[in-house]
Amino acid sequence: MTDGELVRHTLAGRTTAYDQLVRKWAPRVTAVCHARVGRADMAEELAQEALFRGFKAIASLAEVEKFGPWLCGIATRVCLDWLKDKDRTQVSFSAIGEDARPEEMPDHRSSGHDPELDEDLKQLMDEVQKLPAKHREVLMLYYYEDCTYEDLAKILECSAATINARLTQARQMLREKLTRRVDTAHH
Amino acid sequence: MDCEHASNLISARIDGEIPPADQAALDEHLATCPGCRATMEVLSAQDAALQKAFAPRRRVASKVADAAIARIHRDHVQSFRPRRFPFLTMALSAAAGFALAMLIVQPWRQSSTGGGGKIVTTQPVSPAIPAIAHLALATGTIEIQPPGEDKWQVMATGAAIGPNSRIRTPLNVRCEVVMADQSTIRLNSNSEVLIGKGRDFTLATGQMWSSVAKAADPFTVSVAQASITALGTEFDIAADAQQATLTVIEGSTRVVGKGGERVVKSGNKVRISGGTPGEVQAVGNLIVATGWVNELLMMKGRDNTELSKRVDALLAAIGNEKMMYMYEDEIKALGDHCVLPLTRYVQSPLSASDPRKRHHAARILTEMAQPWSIPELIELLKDNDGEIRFYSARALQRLVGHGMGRTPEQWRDQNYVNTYNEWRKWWQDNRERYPVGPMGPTPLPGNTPPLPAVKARG
Repeated sequence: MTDGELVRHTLAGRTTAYDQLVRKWAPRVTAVCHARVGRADMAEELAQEALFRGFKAIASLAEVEKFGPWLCGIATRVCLDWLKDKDRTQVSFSAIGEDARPEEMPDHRSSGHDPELDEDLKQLMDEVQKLPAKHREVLMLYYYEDCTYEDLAKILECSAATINARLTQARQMLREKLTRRVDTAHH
Repeated sequence: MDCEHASNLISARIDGEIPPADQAALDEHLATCPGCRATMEVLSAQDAALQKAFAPRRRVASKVADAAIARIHRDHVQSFRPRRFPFLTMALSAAAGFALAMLIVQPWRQSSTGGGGKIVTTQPVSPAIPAIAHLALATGTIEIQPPGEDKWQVMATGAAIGPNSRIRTPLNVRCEVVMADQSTIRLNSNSEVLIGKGRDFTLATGQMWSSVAKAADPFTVSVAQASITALGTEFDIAADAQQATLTVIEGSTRVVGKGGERVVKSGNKVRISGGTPGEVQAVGNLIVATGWVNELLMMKGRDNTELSKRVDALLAAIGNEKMMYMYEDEIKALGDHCVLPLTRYVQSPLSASDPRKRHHAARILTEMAQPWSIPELIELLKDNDGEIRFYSARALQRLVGHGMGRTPEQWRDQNYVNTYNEWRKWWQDNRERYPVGPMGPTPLPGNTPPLPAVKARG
């Protein structure tokens, strides 16, 4: 069943159809939130909020087949709202823009990496969270769920070739950063 | 080929996205470029590390989905509860744009409505009439006839119901009505009931299940020239104009007819013919006798406790060695309806403490699983219990016609991570070919990650 059909079922009152949309999109929505706020723990709450708001607002979705990008848009807005929240005014607005610098990301150090990761993987996740926004986003989307370049292209509204290029750049950046870390550690 | 282009292709190869036409060209370049060979090696290792680093994140995403679904169902169910001022229900619904979109009956559905009588589409209850109930759930179009009118009107889920209204269900449509006192009645398909002032009903025809909230006032159903009275209980009545069968599920009820009077206790049924109650008989299995309500229960979400309890009761009965096959058959008699609860039971952490019962459930699933169970059966191939993997593999074999190169018996002894991942991949490629379940789509396994040990792509 396509997303569009599931949306129609949801509108007809079959909430279980939305369950399937939630299961399908939760990894990508969580990835978008993680990439936006740079904190794994907050990403979970914000993603849940976005999935819920999507349900409440589904009647306003104009093109039902574009459910995914629409939902990711909601997730982005939920994250922007959270980042703008008064309690976090120490975050400059530029920190959420396209060129957000990793150093400005809120609390990326205290993002509470998954405890089961070993030191190397924690370092790797640190570096992932420090990637430039557009690279961070595509890499997180890709690794949160096995999806194709084509899927990612639809969500990010670009071409599959762009996805390929950004992923390649992201990987090269990680490679350089990690090599440097190793070098620094050795000297 | 330059190294920049090659690095894009290396990335694409790692991701299993390299176009076939570029395969050979990349190999050729790698053969002559030590730098790109090193890149290939480093990025492959990095990919493996990223897969590992993101594995907990993927599990979190699945928890996020669970939490969001639970919240949505909670919200949804709450929106069905009677409001403090129930007669304002319609107005409130209208105000909430979303609720209206969700709940309003689509005009094109009228044409499918069965039964006689002219149908109009005005609001079912004027706000001036205080509501005594509301339509909580429906599997299709429900009609209402307000007092003093001869026209049947289509009513929306969530709509208020005034006193002395008639409600009817067409073929294959069932509904649940929640009364102001929190009593609940459910109507099977092709049923018609007159709702009196709140605790008095007349079942003209069809089948009605009642769960009666305790109150000083008796709860009475008139049927086939007799009346059935309860104070706080659960019972089911199937009736036409001349005769009726009363099945008492919980508590007790009193049947009074012109030809006599009887008290019927839980687990028993009585046939009422021409106003005379017959002998009280024990019911073979209450769950099966009232199995028709399951369709409504399943609309309440997968974590519906009432439905799980029903299957649980049957599973518990299976524990009785002598009767085992009888109850197993009764579970199977639920048809498709047993599949989801059985699956949930096998998946639930609670069942882990009772492996024997869990094996029974999995064994029944082997026969009863539906094509829409495939994704969940695939997930059960990961189970730590060899018997569960065996039964799941057998069910997959039955549904799909092959075992992905493994016999069910092999799964009993070993956990084949690679074959599990192949199954997942197969499902991703083939799911469009399989139908969705009778109650709408079942979740896909996309919410759980492939096991990280095996990430061999490209």
